[in-house]
Amino acid sequence: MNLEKAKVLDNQKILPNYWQLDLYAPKAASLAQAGQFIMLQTTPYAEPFLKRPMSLNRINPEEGTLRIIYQIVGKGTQILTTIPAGGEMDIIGPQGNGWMIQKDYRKALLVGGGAGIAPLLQLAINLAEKEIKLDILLGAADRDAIFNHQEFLQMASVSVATMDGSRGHKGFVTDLLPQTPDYDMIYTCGPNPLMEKVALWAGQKGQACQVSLEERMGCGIGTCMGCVCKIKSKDGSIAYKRVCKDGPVFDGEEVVFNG
Amino acid sequence: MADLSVCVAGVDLKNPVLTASGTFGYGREFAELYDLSLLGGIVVKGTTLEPRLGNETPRIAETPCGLLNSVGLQNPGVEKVIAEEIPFLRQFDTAVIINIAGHCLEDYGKIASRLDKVEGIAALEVNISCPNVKSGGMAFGTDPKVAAGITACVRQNCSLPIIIKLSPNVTNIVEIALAVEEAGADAISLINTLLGMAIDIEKKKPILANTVGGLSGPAVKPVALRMVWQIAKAVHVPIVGLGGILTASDALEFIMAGASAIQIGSANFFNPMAGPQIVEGIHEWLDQHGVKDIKEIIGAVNQ
Ligand SMILES: Cc1cc2nc3c(=O)[nH]c(=O)nc-3n(C[C@H](O)[C@H](O)[C@H](O)COP(=O)(O)OP(=O)(O)OC[C@H]3O[C@@H](n4cnc5c(N)ncnc54)[C@H](O)[C@@H]3O)c2cc1C
Ligand SMILES: Cc1cc2nc3c(=O)[nH]c(=O)nc-3n(C[C@H](O)[C@H](O)[C@H](O)COP(=O)(O)O)c2cc1C
Repeated sequence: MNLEKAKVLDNQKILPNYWQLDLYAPKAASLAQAGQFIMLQTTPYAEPFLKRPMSLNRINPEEGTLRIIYQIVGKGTQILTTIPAGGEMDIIGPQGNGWMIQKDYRKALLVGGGAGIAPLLQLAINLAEKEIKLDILLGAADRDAIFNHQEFLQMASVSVATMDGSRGHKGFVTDLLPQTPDYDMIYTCGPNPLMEKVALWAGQKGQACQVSLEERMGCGIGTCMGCVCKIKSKDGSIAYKRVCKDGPVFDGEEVVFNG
Repeated sequence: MADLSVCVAGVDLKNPVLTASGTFGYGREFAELYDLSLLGGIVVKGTTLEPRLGNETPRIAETPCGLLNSVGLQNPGVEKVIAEEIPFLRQFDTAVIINIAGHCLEDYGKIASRLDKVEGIAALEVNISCPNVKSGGMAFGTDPKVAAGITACVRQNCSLPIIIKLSPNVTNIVEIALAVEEAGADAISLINTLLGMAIDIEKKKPILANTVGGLSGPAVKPVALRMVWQIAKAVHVPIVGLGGILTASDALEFIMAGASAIQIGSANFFNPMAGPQIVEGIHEWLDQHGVKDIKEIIGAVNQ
């Protein structure tokens, strides 16, 4: 496990409710894999008490940097916006398992919703480097919550859905799921209902699928059993697994949503 | 350097800093960060006879200066703890304390007798106060007679030193402390979490799936400290104080209130290095104040 004092290189608003945070954290950057996250301490004081889990949007081991894209949700993320370039923050990470990629994949689908788009960019970059063909579906409430669109366009065909129709298809991003998919792997991150739909659809179509789950975390390092999710094993038995340590990425087929 | 060694429940501890049950797992994650032998002791996650699945999620709700949890004693059961976790912890030069919990009196007796023969255990900490188990849990810790009954039952079923961990969710903590002392407790630890609640006003629903949960962290420290001080004046057995300790000065407050040792709980989430840093901080404070032996300041609060 890596504890590090990260230096803030840049912290700026990119959309009305989203900020982009660039950190210099050479040790974490050298260890990190796409799909992993860090625990980020928003203040050196005890309020707010818990660290915030944030996915890695970009990993640059050569320069020792990590990029986070965060949505302003409450107290912790509001405090984050006040930390200027040059500031420091304690981080733990990288944590968790990250996305699984196999060498022989030829074609993959990425489905992201809201803040769940964040961990898909580094994944897309890694897949594109391996010359895996990509289709990408992005969804959000409105166009002000779609980020990284340009970056994705450089690597793949991208379709967008917004609930208010301000960009792309009007409705759920899952409306855009194809009838006859032929992917080696489907990757998804976003609100639970989105991932549940994608996992169900993938299962029906006989496609393999990885989901990156979110849960409220206590320690973020695997000790407290706070952030568990329900996982069904092959024999049908149910166990609670830790999102922070056994995940956040799970096989879509194993996850019991709504539980 | 000052002498930090203390004796609790007949167990010699190299220093008074232990880690609290449920906040340190079985030490594996923290062993990646520092040498666990720096700690006076480790109290493992609450262990039950059979594996326990635990509660539904969300299990965590952050609250001002702390958190609510309703983990519900998720653990792999005593056999797995004996087979896999205790051998790991035995490698370290630190006191290994197994925290036990049960559904009923019989469970406590069975688990105590099962652990009695296991090598490498310094003591048992008996959780009679977990608020998360629907079938009894806290009720054990809130009635002096029942608390004494469990203490006596564990006492009869094992020869290990026993530390009874008390619930703060009572009107008279002294009464419970006296009852478990009388029934054979070798030491008393307190506090477990305070029963609490948080609501999501948009959904008009409790945040925790379990509706209520246990409050811990700096928010509970004044309550914990008051309770340690109250029972220190009433009982003769050593006291292990915990609840909201974040720094060495917090730890020293508990020691001055009458605790012979302390435990670090939620602080492990805020600062994973809290354990060794608090040991170091206590050393520094004692040296700066010319105190040669920590035992000189146990219960030293002036009134
Ligand atoms: C593995 C993982 C990766 C994540 N990656 C990102 C990311 O890249 N970008 C991003 O914007 N958000 C991400 N999130 C969600 C993010 O952690 C929360 O939005 C954030 O913690 C909210 O903090 P707050 O203080 O602003 O909100 P508050 O509502 O004040 O938070 C109160 C408590 O609830 C927790 N909490 C609130 N919302 C969530 C949530 N949706 N999931 C988990 N815990 C929550 C907080 O951590 C805190 O403990 C991720 C969550 C997880 C579990
Ligand atoms: C996530 C979590 C899990 C806990 N699990 C247990 C447990 O299994 N058994 C127990 O006796 N106490 C358990 N506790 C209580 C702590 O050991 C401690 O008594 C309490 O948190 C107060 O101390 P603190 O404020 O330093 O955390 C748990 C606390 C937390 C936060």
